[in-house]
Amino acid sequence: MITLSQDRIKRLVAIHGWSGAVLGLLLYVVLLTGAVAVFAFEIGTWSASGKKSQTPFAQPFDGTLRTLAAQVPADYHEDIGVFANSAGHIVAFLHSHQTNAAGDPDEKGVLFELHPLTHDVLARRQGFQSEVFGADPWGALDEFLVDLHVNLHLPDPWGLYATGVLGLLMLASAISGILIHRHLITDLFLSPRRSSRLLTARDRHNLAGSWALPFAVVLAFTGAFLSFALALGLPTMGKVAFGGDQMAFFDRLVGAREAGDPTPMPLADLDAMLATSAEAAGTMPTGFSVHHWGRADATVTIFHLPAEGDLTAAQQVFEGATGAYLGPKPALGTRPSIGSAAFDLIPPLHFGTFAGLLSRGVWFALGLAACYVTLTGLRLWLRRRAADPPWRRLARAVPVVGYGLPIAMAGSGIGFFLGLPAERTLSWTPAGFLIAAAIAIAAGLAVRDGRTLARAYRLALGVAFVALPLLRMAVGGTGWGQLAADGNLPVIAFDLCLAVAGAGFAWAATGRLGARPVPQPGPAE
Amino acid sequence: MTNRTVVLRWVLAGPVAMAVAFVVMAAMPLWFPEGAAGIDHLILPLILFPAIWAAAFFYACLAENLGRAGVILSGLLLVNGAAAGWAVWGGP
Repeated sequence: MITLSQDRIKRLVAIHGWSGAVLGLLLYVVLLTGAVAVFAFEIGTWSASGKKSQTPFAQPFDGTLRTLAAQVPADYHEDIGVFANSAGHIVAFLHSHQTNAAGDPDEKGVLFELHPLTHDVLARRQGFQSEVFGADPWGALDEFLVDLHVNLHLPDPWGLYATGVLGLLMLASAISGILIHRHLITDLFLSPRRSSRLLTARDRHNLAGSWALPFAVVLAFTGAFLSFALALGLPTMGKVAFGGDQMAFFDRLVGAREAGDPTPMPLADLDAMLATSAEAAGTMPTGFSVHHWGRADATVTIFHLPAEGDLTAAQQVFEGATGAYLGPKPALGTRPSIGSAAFDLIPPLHFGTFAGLLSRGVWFALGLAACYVTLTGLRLWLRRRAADPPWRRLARAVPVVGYGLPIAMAGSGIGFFLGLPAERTLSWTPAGFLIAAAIAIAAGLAVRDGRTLARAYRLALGVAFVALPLLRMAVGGTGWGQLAADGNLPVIAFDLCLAVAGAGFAWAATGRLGARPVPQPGPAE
Repeated sequence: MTNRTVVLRWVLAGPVAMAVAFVVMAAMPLWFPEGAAGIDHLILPLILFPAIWAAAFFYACLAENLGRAGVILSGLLLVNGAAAGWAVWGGP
């Protein structure tokens, strides 16, 4: 327990309450979408009914890349990025660094989407990175959910500013929560009192808050960094330290090798480099990049997931013209540094990627706990102001947003599958979200009784969750037998999770979960 | 607590704390060590930005002597703002 004067505690309580009340519902949106986005890659794989190959770079790729390089203008040989998307397709983006219409540095080139086994070209798109990467019909659902979390679908850079401010607000709320929490350790094992509704609600808020607070600090800190670094920090650093030369700044930051000999020279055997890299890193490559394809100063950087026992992902660098192995490279800079080590910690801490599916499952659960803390804190705050009409209206909005958001997210999934046969997922996914959100809001306006409304929302969630796996299969998605044979067990697990969650919500809609004797209102209420 | 004190505290904890965090981050590349890879002065200010904001925000919220807090935060704002501004617009 931290000892503070009464005056300071009053101010901290005000910070804790107001920070949650003013933007609490928006914070809930970012938290819930963030908890779901922890599994964004798996959602992408699930919506595509599994990957066509579990090891996309196991097939020789050298000849394919040479064929692709011959099909694009030489300008686009400046940089080539290759990776596997959530559908298991290999994506190759051959591009140069240019400035887009908005005057911002952007990458322009040709994107090929390839079958991972046959290397047949499934799609070819040309343009700036921001255009070609947002046009993948298979990635519509996971990208929609991630964008909702990252920038609330607001235009750049305002969406990042908005989520950055929400991150700072969450940081203020979490730190003030820790400072005013008198019994943080004992509250971890608090059994909610049932003598009155207010005490039960307050104890439940404290219990969930005690578990979620340290996590909330980590999440808010890393989230605010990610938002502000992209929208504000990087352009500012480029101006202050490099006189506005953003390309020179990025080259220094990522540790790009200085341009050397432009003499034309073919790339050495790429497949041999991929094999050497896999041996050095201890895991299969997840992608690679080629800088200055076809030149004597070409560099190949190969990316890997963290090896067993490692916290961060690995990169291996090769000299392109000779295929010589130059060694591992840190994420930032050309040699290990405190800055790169600190930066390496951000993704595992924010996305929970440090121990595979287990840690991400824990991050998902803590994310849901943070959602619960946000909503219950807001309800407690509003209960004390129930006599005030404006706050009463906000209180009406809490269940509408609380239940409406997951209903709308499920609606985006339904929209995705309805749009899939006609390859209209890019428009049907947001349409499904908006339609489901509109229905949830209309129900919130029409149904005045809170308990009836909650039951209706739970039933809608239950039906939507159960419908999603059925709809996936109904529109031609792969069945469980074939998925199991192809090693796509996560897709089956995701189907089952949705079905179980749907059944749980449908059961909750019957009211049996709330069938316990309702505590009598206490004198404090 | 007077209304004037409350307003001053809101101003210091709100726009001033955000502006202080921004200019301290912006000026850090000018004095922070570059490190082994020459990038520490570029990436660590970005990573520390939320911490700088939190320090300024809670200092403004919890300071008993609000006048002193105002002087310190304004000083940080002016010194770092001038240094970053000089690097962007007034440098050689």
